[in-house]
Amino acid sequence: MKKVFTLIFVFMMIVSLFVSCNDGEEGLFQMAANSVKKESFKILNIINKESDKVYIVATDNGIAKYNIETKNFSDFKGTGVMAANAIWANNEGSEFIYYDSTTHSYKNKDGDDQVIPNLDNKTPQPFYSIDGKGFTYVFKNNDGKFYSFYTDNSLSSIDSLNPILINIEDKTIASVSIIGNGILRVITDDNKAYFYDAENNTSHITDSIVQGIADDGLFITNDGKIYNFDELDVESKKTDINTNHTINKRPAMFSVTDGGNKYTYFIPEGSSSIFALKWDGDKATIDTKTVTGLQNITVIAILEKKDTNKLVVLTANNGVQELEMK
Amino acid sequence: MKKKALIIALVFCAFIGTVFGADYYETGSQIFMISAGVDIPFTNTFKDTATGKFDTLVGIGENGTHINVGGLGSLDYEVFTSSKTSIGGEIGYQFNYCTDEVLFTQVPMCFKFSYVPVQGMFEIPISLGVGLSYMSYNEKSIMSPTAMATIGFRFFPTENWGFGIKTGIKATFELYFSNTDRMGVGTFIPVHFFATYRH
Repeated sequence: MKKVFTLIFVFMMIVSLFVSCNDGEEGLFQMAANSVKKESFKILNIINKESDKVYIVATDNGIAKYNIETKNFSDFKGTGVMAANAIWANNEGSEFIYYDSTTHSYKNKDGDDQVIPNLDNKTPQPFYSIDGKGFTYVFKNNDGKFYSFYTDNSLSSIDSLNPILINIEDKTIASVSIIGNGILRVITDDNKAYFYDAENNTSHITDSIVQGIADDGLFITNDGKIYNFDELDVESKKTDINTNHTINKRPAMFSVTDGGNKYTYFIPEGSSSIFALKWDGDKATIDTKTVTGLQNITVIAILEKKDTNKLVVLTANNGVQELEMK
Repeated sequence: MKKKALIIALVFCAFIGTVFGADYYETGSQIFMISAGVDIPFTNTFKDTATGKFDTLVGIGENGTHINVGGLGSLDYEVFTSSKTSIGGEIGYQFNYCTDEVLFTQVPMCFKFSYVPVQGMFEIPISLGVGLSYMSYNEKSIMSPTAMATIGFRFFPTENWGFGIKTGIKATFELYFSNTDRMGVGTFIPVHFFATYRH
Protein backbone atom coordinates (compact mmCIF):
# COMPACT_ATOMS: atom_id res chain seq x y z
CA MET A 1 0.00 0.00 0.00
CA LYS A 2 2.89 2.29 0.84
CA LYS A 3 4.28 1.63 -2.61
CA VAL A 4 1.02 2.70 -4.24
CA PHE A 5 0.95 5.98 -2.30
CA THR A 6 4.57 6.63 -3.21
CA LEU A 7 3.78 6.03 -6.88
CA ILE A 8 0.75 8.36 -6.73
CA PHE A 9 2.85 11.01 -5.01
CA VAL A 10 5.62 10.74 -7.61
CA PHE A 11 3.06 10.92 -10.41
CA MET A 12 1.41 14.01 -8.89
CA MET A 13 4.80 15.66 -8.58
CA ILE A 14 5.60 14.96 -12.23
CA VAL A 15 2.19 16.29 -13.33
CA SER A 16 2.61 19.42 -11.19
CA LEU A 17 6.05 20.00 -12.65
CA PHE A 18 4.76 19.86 -16.20
CA VAL A 19 1.60 21.87 -15.45
CA SER A 20 3.69 24.60 -13.84
CA CYS A 21 5.55 24.94 -17.17
CA ASN A 22 2.28 25.81 -18.96
CA ASP A 23 2.29 29.58 -19.02
CA GLY A 24 -1.46 30.02 -19.24
CA GLU A 25 -1.48 31.66 -22.63
CA GLU A 26 -2.49 28.55 -24.54
CA GLY A 27 -6.08 27.47 -23.86
CA LEU A 28 -6.08 24.82 -26.56
CA PHE A 29 -9.58 23.49 -25.94
CA GLN A 30 -10.87 27.06 -25.67
CA MET A 31 -9.26 27.91 -29.02
CA ALA A 32 -10.66 24.74 -30.57
CA ALA A 33 -14.16 25.60 -29.28
CA ASN A 34 -13.86 29.01 -30.92
CA SER A 35 -12.49 27.70 -34.22
CA VAL A 36 -14.61 28.52 -37.22
CA LYS A 37 -14.76 27.25 -40.76
CA LYS A 38 -12.06 28.58 -43.04
CA GLU A 39 -12.74 29.77 -46.53
CA SER A 40 -10.03 29.84 -49.15
CA PHE A 41 -10.57 33.53 -49.81
CA LYS A 42 -11.10 36.70 -47.88
CA ILE A 43 -14.30 38.70 -48.14
CA LEU A 44 -13.63 42.39 -48.35
CA ASN A 45 -16.91 44.10 -48.86
CA ILE A 46 -20.49 44.06 -50.02
CA ILE A 47 -20.60 46.08 -53.22
CA ASN A 48 -24.17 45.49 -54.30
CA LYS A 49 -27.07 43.12 -53.89
CA GLU A 50 -29.30 41.25 -56.26
CA SER A 51 -32.10 40.79 -53.75
CA ASP A 52 -32.41 40.74 -49.98
CA LYS A 53 -30.94 37.24 -50.03
CA VAL A 54 -28.18 37.55 -52.65
CA TYR A 55 -25.25 39.87 -52.08
CA ILE A 56 -22.50 40.84 -54.50
CA VAL A 57 -19.27 40.74 -52.54
CA ALA A 58 -15.66 41.66 -53.26
CA THR A 59 -13.21 38.96 -52.26
CA ASP A 60 -9.50 38.54 -52.75
CA ASN A 61 -10.36 36.08 -55.53
CA GLY A 62 -12.59 38.48 -57.43
CA ILE A 63 -16.26 39.40 -57.36
CA ALA A 64 -18.73 36.77 -56.20
CA LYS A 65 -22.37 36.31 -55.35
CA TYR A 66 -23.35 35.02 -51.96
CA ASN A 67 -26.76 33.52 -51.42
CA ILE A 68 -27.92 33.48 -47.79
CA GLU A 69 -30.51 30.76 -48.35
CA THR A 70 -28.31 28.26 -50.19
CA LYS A 71 -25.22 29.40 -48.27
CA ASN A 72 -23.23 29.33 -51.49
CA PHE A 73 -20.77 31.54 -53.27
CA SER A 74 -21.09 31.49 -57.04
CA ASP A 75 -20.19 33.28 -60.27
CA PHE A 76 -16.74 34.51 -59.42
CA LYS A 77 -15.67 37.20 -61.86
CA GLY A 78 -12.34 38.81 -62.43
CA THR A 79 -10.10 36.44 -60.53
CA GLY A 80 -6.88 38.33 -59.94
CA VAL A 81 -8.63 41.70 -59.94
CA MET A 82 -7.69 43.83 -56.94
CA ALA A 83 -11.10 43.29 -55.40
CA ALA A 84 -10.02 45.32 -52.38
CA ASN A 85 -10.49 48.36 -54.55
CA ALA A 86 -13.75 47.26 -56.14
CA ILE A 87 -16.12 50.16 -55.77
CA TRP A 88 -19.13 49.25 -57.86
CA ALA A 89 -20.84 46.23 -59.40
CA ASN A 90 -24.17 45.90 -61.07
CA ASN A 91 -26.81 43.95 -59.21
CA GLU A 92 -25.92 40.74 -61.02
CA GLY A 93 -22.22 41.09 -60.31
CA SER A 94 -21.50 40.65 -64.02
CA GLU A 95 -20.12 44.19 -64.52
CA PHE A 96 -17.87 45.95 -62.05
CA ILE A 97 -15.46 48.82 -61.64
CA TYR A 98 -12.30 48.79 -59.58
CA TYR A 99 -9.48 51.17 -58.84
CA ASP A 100 -6.04 50.08 -59.99
CA SER A 101 -3.62 51.66 -57.52
CA THR A 102 -0.56 50.85 -59.64
CA THR A 103 -1.76 52.86 -62.63
CA HIS A 104 -4.03 55.19 -60.59
CA SER A 105 -6.93 54.57 -62.87
CA TYR A 106 -10.41 53.07 -62.80
CA LYS A 107 -10.86 49.88 -64.78
CA ASN A 108 -13.73 47.66 -65.81
CA LYS A 109 -13.97 43.89 -65.50
CA ASP A 110 -11.85 43.40 -68.64
CA GLY A 111 -9.06 45.56 -67.22
CA ASP A 112 -9.78 48.42 -69.65
CA ASP A 113 -9.41 51.98 -68.38
CA GLN A 114 -12.69 53.71 -67.57
CA VAL A 115 -13.18 57.45 -67.55
CA ILE A 116 -15.63 58.32 -64.75
CA PRO A 117 -15.96 62.12 -64.63
CA ASN A 118 -17.27 62.21 -61.05
CA LEU A 119 -14.28 60.23 -59.81
CA ASP A 120 -11.59 61.97 -61.84
CA ASN A 121 -8.43 62.39 -59.72
CA LYS A 122 -10.17 60.82 -56.73
CA THR A 123 -8.76 57.77 -54.96
CA PRO A 124 -11.21 55.55 -53.08
CA GLN A 125 -10.58 54.83 -49.42
CA PRO A 126 -11.53 51.37 -48.16
CA PHE A 127 -15.27 51.44 -47.82
CA TYR A 128 -17.77 49.02 -46.45
CA SER A 129 -21.43 48.46 -46.25
CA ILE A 130 -22.38 47.71 -42.66
CA ASP A 131 -25.42 45.65 -43.51
CA GLY A 132 -25.60 45.42 -47.28
CA LYS A 133 -28.44 47.94 -47.29
CA GLY A 134 -26.69 51.30 -47.29
CA PHE A 135 -23.42 52.06 -49.10
CA THR A 136 -21.03 54.74 -47.88
CA TYR A 137 -18.01 55.89 -49.89
CA VAL A 138 -15.07 58.16 -49.09
CA PHE A 139 -12.57 59.47 -51.64
CA LYS A 140 -9.46 61.63 -51.42
CA ASN A 141 -8.31 63.76 -54.29
CA ASN A 142 -4.80 64.75 -55.36
CA ASP A 143 -4.96 67.93 -53.23
CA GLY A 144 -5.68 65.94 -50.05
CA LYS A 145 -9.34 66.92 -49.91
CA PHE A 146 -11.93 64.34 -48.82
CA TYR A 147 -15.21 63.56 -50.55
CA SER A 148 -18.08 61.34 -49.46
CA PHE A 149 -21.15 59.76 -50.92
CA TYR A 150 -23.96 57.81 -49.34
CA THR A 151 -26.77 55.89 -50.94
CA ASP A 152 -29.41 53.88 -49.12
CA ASN A 153 -29.89 51.76 -52.19
CA SER A 154 -27.67 49.92 -54.62
CA LEU A 155 -26.35 52.09 -57.43
CA SER A 156 -27.65 51.16 -60.86
CA SER A 157 -24.59 52.63 -62.57
CA ILE A 158 -21.17 53.96 -61.62
CA ASP A 159 -22.17 57.38 -62.99
CA SER A 160 -24.64 57.71 -60.09
CA LEU A 161 -21.71 57.76 -57.68
CA ASN A 162 -21.23 61.47 -57.23
CA PRO A 163 -19.02 62.32 -54.22
CA ILE A 164 -19.42 65.65 -52.44
CA LEU A 165 -16.64 67.61 -50.73
CA ILE A 166 -16.52 67.16 -46.95
CA ASN A 167 -16.37 70.62 -45.50
CA ILE A 168 -16.23 71.45 -41.78
CA GLU A 169 -15.92 75.13 -40.93
CA ASP A 170 -13.12 75.49 -43.49
CA LYS A 171 -10.87 73.28 -41.35
CA THR A 172 -8.21 71.03 -42.82
CA ILE A 173 -9.30 67.43 -42.57
CA ALA A 174 -6.70 64.90 -41.46
CA SER A 175 -8.64 61.64 -41.71
CA VAL A 176 -12.08 60.27 -42.44
CA SER A 177 -13.51 56.88 -41.52
CA ILE A 178 -16.89 55.31 -42.04
CA ILE A 179 -18.61 54.43 -38.76
CA GLY A 180 -22.18 53.86 -39.87
CA ASN A 181 -24.52 54.02 -42.82
CA GLY A 182 -23.77 57.49 -44.18
CA ILE A 183 -22.10 58.57 -40.94
CA LEU A 184 -18.41 59.42 -40.90
CA ARG A 185 -15.90 60.18 -38.21
CA VAL A 186 -13.80 63.13 -39.27
CA ILE A 187 -10.63 64.18 -37.49
CA THR A 188 -9.31 67.62 -38.32
CA ASP A 189 -5.68 68.70 -38.17
CA ASP A 190 -6.30 70.45 -34.81
CA ASN A 191 -7.23 66.99 -33.38
CA LYS A 192 -10.95 67.66 -33.07
CA ALA A 193 -13.36 64.79 -33.73
CA TYR A 194 -16.60 65.25 -35.63
CA PHE A 195 -19.62 63.27 -36.69
CA TYR A 196 -20.30 63.90 -40.30
CA ASP A 197 -23.61 63.08 -41.93
CA ALA A 198 -22.70 62.23 -45.52
CA GLU A 199 -26.33 62.21 -46.59
CA ASN A 200 -27.14 65.74 -45.42
CA ASN A 201 -23.60 67.16 -45.34
CA THR A 202 -23.85 68.28 -41.74
CA SER A 203 -21.33 67.88 -38.93
CA HIS A 204 -21.21 67.94 -35.16
CA ILE A 205 -18.20 68.04 -32.87
CA THR A 206 -17.96 65.21 -30.31
CA ASP A 207 -16.10 64.82 -27.03
CA SER A 208 -15.35 61.16 -27.53
CA ILE A 209 -14.21 59.22 -30.53
CA VAL A 210 -17.27 57.53 -31.96
CA GLN A 211 -16.48 54.03 -33.16
CA GLY A 212 -19.78 52.95 -34.61
CA ILE A 213 -23.38 53.98 -35.04
CA ALA A 214 -26.44 51.89 -35.77
CA ASP A 215 -29.40 52.81 -37.95
CA ASP A 216 -31.58 53.57 -34.94
CA GLY A 217 -29.14 56.20 -33.70
CA LEU A 218 -27.41 54.39 -30.87
CA PHE A 219 -23.69 54.80 -31.04
CA ILE A 220 -20.68 53.60 -29.10
CA THR A 221 -17.57 55.53 -28.23
CA ASN A 222 -14.02 54.38 -27.69
CA ASP A 223 -14.39 54.81 -23.92
CA GLY A 224 -17.19 52.23 -23.86
CA LYS A 225 -20.17 54.59 -23.59
CA ILE A 226 -23.44 54.16 -25.40
CA TYR A 227 -25.30 57.25 -26.53
CA ASN A 228 -28.45 58.02 -28.42
CA PHE A 229 -27.97 60.04 -31.54
CA ASP A 230 -30.82 62.21 -32.70
CA GLU A 231 -30.30 64.56 -35.59
CA LEU A 232 -26.80 65.29 -34.32
CA ASP A 233 -28.18 66.80 -31.11
CA VAL A 234 -25.96 64.60 -29.01
CA GLU A 235 -25.78 66.53 -25.79
CA SER A 236 -29.48 66.79 -25.07
CA LYS A 237 -30.16 63.16 -25.86
CA LYS A 238 -27.21 61.35 -24.45
CA THR A 239 -27.73 58.51 -22.03
CA ASP A 240 -24.59 56.72 -21.20
CA ILE A 241 -24.17 53.16 -20.13
CA ASN A 242 -20.74 51.91 -19.35
CA THR A 243 -20.15 48.57 -21.04
CA ASN A 244 -16.86 48.15 -19.14
CA HIS A 245 -15.25 47.58 -22.51
CA THR A 246 -12.96 49.97 -24.27
CA ILE A 247 -13.74 49.79 -27.94
CA ASN A 248 -10.55 50.51 -29.81
CA LYS A 249 -11.58 49.05 -33.10
CA ARG A 250 -14.53 49.35 -35.39
CA PRO A 251 -17.60 47.43 -34.18
CA ALA A 252 -20.09 45.84 -36.54
CA MET A 253 -23.54 47.19 -35.72
CA PHE A 254 -27.08 46.48 -36.76
CA SER A 255 -30.64 46.93 -35.55
CA VAL A 256 -33.57 44.54 -35.52
CA THR A 257 -37.11 44.56 -34.24
CA ASP A 258 -37.85 41.56 -32.09
CA GLY A 259 -41.12 41.01 -30.23
CA GLY A 260 -42.16 44.62 -30.72
CA ASN A 261 -38.88 45.94 -29.30
CA LYS A 262 -36.11 47.48 -31.33
CA TYR A 263 -32.65 46.23 -30.48
CA THR A 264 -29.27 47.45 -31.58
CA TYR A 265 -26.48 44.92 -31.56
CA PHE A 266 -22.82 45.61 -31.89
CA ILE A 267 -19.80 43.35 -32.06
CA PRO A 268 -16.49 45.02 -31.24
CA GLU A 269 -13.72 43.62 -33.41
CA GLY A 270 -11.90 40.73 -31.72
CA SER A 271 -14.50 40.42 -28.97
CA SER A 272 -16.07 37.21 -27.77
CA SER A 273 -19.23 39.04 -26.86
CA ILE A 274 -22.06 40.69 -28.66
CA PHE A 275 -23.92 43.53 -26.99
CA ALA A 276 -27.65 43.95 -27.37
CA LEU A 277 -29.08 47.37 -26.54
CA LYS A 278 -32.66 48.45 -26.19
CA TRP A 279 -33.64 52.08 -26.24
CA ASP A 280 -36.98 53.02 -24.69
CA GLY A 281 -36.81 56.70 -25.47
CA ASP A 282 -35.32 57.77 -22.17
CA LYS A 283 -32.70 55.22 -21.38
CA ALA A 284 -30.95 52.21 -22.82
CA THR A 285 -30.48 48.78 -21.31
CA ILE A 286 -27.65 46.51 -22.27
CA ASP A 287 -27.55 42.74 -22.50
CA THR A 288 -24.39 40.77 -23.17
CA LYS A 289 -24.52 37.65 -25.31
CA THR A 290 -21.78 35.16 -25.90
CA VAL A 291 -21.12 33.92 -29.38
CA THR A 292 -18.91 30.90 -29.87
CA GLY A 293 -16.43 31.48 -32.66
CA LEU A 294 -16.50 35.25 -32.51
CA GLN A 295 -13.01 35.66 -31.07
CA ASN A 296 -11.27 34.35 -34.14
CA ILE A 297 -13.07 36.33 -36.79
CA THR A 298 -13.42 39.89 -37.96
CA VAL A 299 -17.01 40.76 -38.74
CA ILE A 300 -17.42 42.89 -41.85
CA ALA A 301 -21.18 42.98 -41.95
CA ILE A 302 -24.23 41.34 -40.45
CA LEU A 303 -26.41 40.01 -43.20
CA GLU A 304 -29.29 38.58 -41.27
CA LYS A 305 -30.60 37.68 -37.88
CA LYS A 306 -32.28 34.38 -38.66
CA ASP A 307 -34.21 33.81 -35.49
CA THR A 308 -33.83 34.84 -31.91
CA ASN A 309 -30.42 33.24 -31.57
CA LYS A 310 -28.66 33.05 -34.91
CA LEU A 311 -26.68 35.68 -36.77
CA VAL A 312 -25.45 35.38 -40.33
CA VAL A 313 -22.24 37.40 -40.51
CA LEU A 314 -19.83 38.19 -43.31
CA THR A 315 -16.28 37.85 -42.05
CA ALA A 316 -12.95 39.12 -43.27
CA ASN A 317 -11.14 35.81 -43.10
CA ASN A 318 -13.63 33.01 -42.64
CA GLY A 319 -16.32 33.44 -45.25
CA VAL A 320 -19.90 33.65 -44.07
CA GLN A 321 -20.56 32.28 -40.63
CA GLU A 322 -23.79 31.40 -38.90
CA LEU A 323 -23.14 32.15 -35.24
CA GLU A 324 -25.29 31.24 -32.30
CA MET A 325 -25.84 33.80 -29.56
CA LYS A 326 -26.25 32.49 -26.03
CA MET B 1 -27.70 -23.41 -42.38
CA LYS B 2 -26.40 -26.42 -40.46
CA LYS B 3 -22.85 -25.29 -41.14
CA LYS B 4 -23.54 -21.82 -39.68
CA ALA B 5 -25.14 -23.31 -36.60
CA LEU B 6 -22.15 -25.60 -36.12
CA ILE B 7 -19.71 -22.65 -36.34
CA ILE B 8 -21.76 -20.62 -33.84
CA ALA B 9 -21.88 -23.58 -31.48
CA LEU B 10 -18.11 -24.10 -31.69
CA VAL B 11 -17.40 -20.42 -31.05
CA PHE B 12 -19.83 -20.44 -28.14
CA CYS B 13 -18.17 -23.54 -26.66
CA ALA B 14 -14.75 -21.97 -27.02
CA PHE B 15 -16.03 -18.80 -25.35
CA ILE B 16 -17.59 -20.74 -22.47
CA GLY B 17 -14.30 -22.55 -22.13
CA THR B 18 -12.40 -19.31 -21.75
CA VAL B 19 -14.82 -18.01 -19.12
CA PHE B 20 -14.80 -21.06 -16.95
CA GLY B 21 -11.43 -22.51 -17.91
CA ALA B 22 -8.14 -22.08 -16.09
CA ASP B 23 -6.36 -18.73 -16.31
CA TYR B 24 -4.01 -18.42 -19.24
CA TYR B 25 -1.64 -15.90 -17.69
CA GLU B 26 0.65 -16.13 -14.69
CA THR B 27 2.77 -13.58 -12.91
CA GLY B 28 5.44 -12.37 -15.32
CA SER B 29 3.46 -13.07 -18.50
CA GLN B 30 3.80 -10.27 -20.98
CA ILE B 31 1.54 -8.84 -23.64
CA PHE B 32 2.28 -6.37 -26.43
CA MET B 33 -0.26 -4.50 -28.54
CA ILE B 34 -0.06 -2.26 -31.56
CA SER B 35 -3.27 -0.47 -32.39
CA ALA B 36 -4.79 2.00 -34.80
CA GLY B 37 -8.24 3.45 -35.10
CA VAL B 38 -10.43 6.48 -34.86
CA ASP B 39 -11.10 8.85 -32.02
CA ILE B 40 -14.47 10.52 -31.74
CA PRO B 41 -14.63 13.86 -29.93
CA PHE B 42 -17.22 13.68 -27.20
CA THR B 43 -17.08 16.86 -25.10
CA ASN B 44 -15.09 20.08 -25.01
CA THR B 45 -15.33 22.02 -21.76
CA PHE B 46 -13.74 25.45 -21.66
CA LYS B 47 -14.12 28.73 -19.82
CA ASP B 48 -16.19 31.30 -21.64
CA THR B 49 -14.28 34.51 -21.02
CA ALA B 50 -17.35 36.68 -21.59
CA THR B 51 -19.50 35.03 -18.94
CA GLY B 52 -16.70 33.69 -16.75
CA LYS B 53 -18.46 30.32 -16.65
CA PHE B 54 -17.46 26.93 -17.97
CA ASP B 55 -19.30 25.83 -21.06
CA THR B 56 -19.44 22.32 -22.50
CA LEU B 57 -19.86 21.58 -26.17
CA VAL B 58 -20.93 18.03 -27.05
CA GLY B 59 -20.58 16.11 -30.29
CA ILE B 60 -18.62 16.04 -33.48
CA GLY B 61 -17.51 18.98 -35.61
CA GLU B 62 -18.85 22.46 -36.26
CA ASN B 63 -22.15 21.93 -34.43
CA GLY B 64 -20.53 20.24 -31.46
CA THR B 65 -17.07 20.40 -29.93
CA HIS B 66 -15.65 22.10 -33.07
CA ILE B 67 -13.32 19.08 -33.27
CA ASN B 68 -13.73 16.51 -36.03
CA VAL B 69 -13.33 12.74 -35.93
CA GLY B 70 -9.63 11.92 -36.08
CA GLY B 71 -7.25 9.02 -35.96
CA LEU B 72 -4.89 7.53 -33.49
CA GLY B 73 -2.28 4.84 -33.12
CA SER B 74 -0.61 3.45 -30.03
CA LEU B 75 1.88 0.96 -28.65
CA ASP B 76 1.09 -0.86 -25.43
CA TYR B 77 3.22 -3.14 -23.27
CA GLU B 78 2.01 -4.83 -20.08
CA VAL B 79 3.37 -7.36 -17.59
CA PHE B 80 1.06 -9.51 -15.48
CA THR B 81 1.40 -9.08 -11.74
CA SER B 82 -1.08 -11.88 -11.10
CA SER B 83 -3.06 -14.26 -13.27
CA LYS B 84 -5.70 -11.60 -13.93
CA THR B 85 -4.04 -8.20 -13.52
CA SER B 86 -1.29 -6.48 -15.39
CA ILE B 87 0.51 -3.14 -15.34
CA GLY B 88 2.33 -1.41 -18.11
CA GLY B 89 2.40 1.60 -20.31
CA GLU B 90 0.95 2.99 -23.49
CA ILE B 91 2.22 5.69 -25.79
CA GLY B 92 0.18 6.96 -28.68
CA TYR B 93 -0.38 9.67 -31.25
CA GLN B 94 -3.80 11.19 -31.78
CA PHE B 95 -4.80 13.74 -34.38
CA ASN B 96 -8.01 15.63 -35.06
CA TYR B 97 -8.80 18.49 -37.38
CA CYS B 98 -10.79 21.32 -35.82
CA THR B 99 -13.44 23.37 -37.61
CA ASP B 100 -10.79 25.81 -38.82
CA GLU B 101 -8.97 22.87 -40.49
CA VAL B 102 -6.03 23.25 -38.12
CA LEU B 103 -4.59 20.04 -36.68
CA PHE B 104 -5.06 19.28 -32.97
CA THR B 105 -2.58 16.61 -31.91
CA GLN B 106 -1.99 14.70 -28.70
CA VAL B 107 0.78 12.35 -27.67
CA PRO B 108 -0.59 10.52 -24.61
CA MET B 109 1.85 8.60 -22.41
CA CYS B 110 0.06 6.55 -19.78
CA PHE B 111 0.69 4.10 -17.00
CA LYS B 112 -1.87 1.34 -17.30
CA PHE B 113 -3.55 -1.12 -15.04
CA SER B 114 -5.55 -3.91 -16.67
CA TYR B 115 -7.85 -6.57 -15.40
CA VAL B 116 -8.56 -9.57 -17.63
CA PRO B 117 -11.51 -11.48 -16.15
CA VAL B 118 -12.06 -13.57 -19.27
CA GLN B 119 -8.95 -15.08 -20.82
CA GLY B 120 -7.76 -17.77 -23.13
CA MET B 121 -8.76 -17.83 -26.79
CA PHE B 122 -11.20 -14.97 -26.20
CA GLU B 123 -10.33 -12.24 -23.76
CA ILE B 124 -12.01 -9.16 -22.31
CA PRO B 125 -9.40 -6.75 -20.94
CA ILE B 126 -10.58 -3.80 -18.86
CA SER B 127 -7.97 -1.05 -18.47
CA LEU B 128 -7.47 2.18 -16.60
CA GLY B 129 -4.67 4.56 -17.49
CA VAL B 130 -3.29 7.83 -16.16
CA GLY B 131 -0.46 9.89 -17.53
CA LEU B 132 0.48 12.96 -19.45
CA SER B 133 -0.42 14.12 -22.89
CA TYR B 134 1.62 16.49 -25.03
CA MET B 135 -0.95 18.55 -26.92
CA SER B 136 -0.43 20.94 -29.84
CA TYR B 137 -2.84 23.21 -31.66
CA ASN B 138 -2.52 26.49 -33.50
CA GLU B 139 1.25 26.74 -32.88
CA LYS B 140 0.77 26.30 -29.10
CA SER B 141 1.88 23.25 -27.14
CA ILE B 142 1.40 22.10 -23.57
CA MET B 143 1.77 19.04 -21.39
CA SER B 144 -1.42 18.04 -19.59
CA PRO B 145 -2.64 15.20 -17.40
CA THR B 146 -4.73 12.59 -19.11
CA ALA B 147 -6.79 9.59 -18.01
CA MET B 148 -8.49 6.80 -19.87
CA ALA B 149 -10.76 3.84 -19.28
CA THR B 150 -11.19 1.17 -21.94
CA ILE B 151 -12.78 -2.20 -22.45
CA GLY B 152 -11.75 -4.55 -25.24
CA PHE B 153 -12.39 -7.85 -26.86
CA ARG B 154 -9.52 -9.87 -28.26
CA PHE B 155 -9.28 -13.19 -30.03
CA PHE B 156 -6.23 -15.41 -30.22
CA PRO B 157 -6.43 -17.79 -33.21
CA THR B 158 -2.90 -19.02 -32.36
CA GLU B 159 -1.20 -19.59 -29.06
CA ASN B 160 0.57 -16.21 -29.05
CA TRP B 161 -0.88 -13.97 -31.73
CA GLY B 162 -4.24 -12.30 -31.61
CA PHE B 163 -6.27 -9.30 -32.66
CA GLY B 164 -9.16 -7.35 -31.28
CA ILE B 165 -11.02 -4.13 -30.75
CA LYS B 166 -11.24 -1.80 -27.79
CA THR B 167 -13.13 1.34 -26.89
CA GLY B 168 -13.77 3.54 -23.89
CA ILE B 169 -13.27 7.13 -22.92
CA LYS B 170 -10.21 9.31 -22.74
CA ALA B 171 -10.06 12.68 -20.99
CA THR B 172 -7.35 15.31 -21.19
CA PHE B 173 -7.29 17.98 -18.49
CA GLU B 174 -5.78 21.25 -19.66
CA LEU B 175 -4.60 22.73 -16.36
CA TYR B 176 -2.84 25.98 -15.55
CA PHE B 177 -1.68 27.30 -12.22
CA SER B 178 -1.33 30.83 -13.55
CA ASN B 179 -4.42 31.43 -15.67
CA THR B 180 -7.60 29.55 -14.85
CA ASP B 181 -9.42 31.31 -17.70
CA ARG B 182 -7.65 29.02 -20.15
CA MET B 183 -8.45 25.72 -18.44
CA GLY B 184 -10.35 23.08 -20.32
CA VAL B 185 -11.19 19.41 -20.52
CA GLY B 186 -11.56 17.42 -23.70
CA THR B 187 -13.02 13.93 -23.81
CA PHE B 188 -12.76 11.54 -26.71
CA ILE B 189 -14.13 8.09 -27.45
CA PRO B 190 -11.39 5.99 -29.04
CA VAL B 191 -12.21 2.95 -31.15
CA HIS B 192 -9.05 0.92 -31.80
CA PHE B 193 -8.33 -2.21 -33.74
CA PHE B 194 -5.20 -3.93 -32.58
CA ALA B 195 -2.83 -6.80 -33.13
CA THR B 196 -1.37 -8.41 -30.03
CA TYR B 197 1.33 -10.82 -29.01
CA ARG B 198 1.51 -12.60 -25.66
CA HIS B 199 3.81 -15.03 -23.91
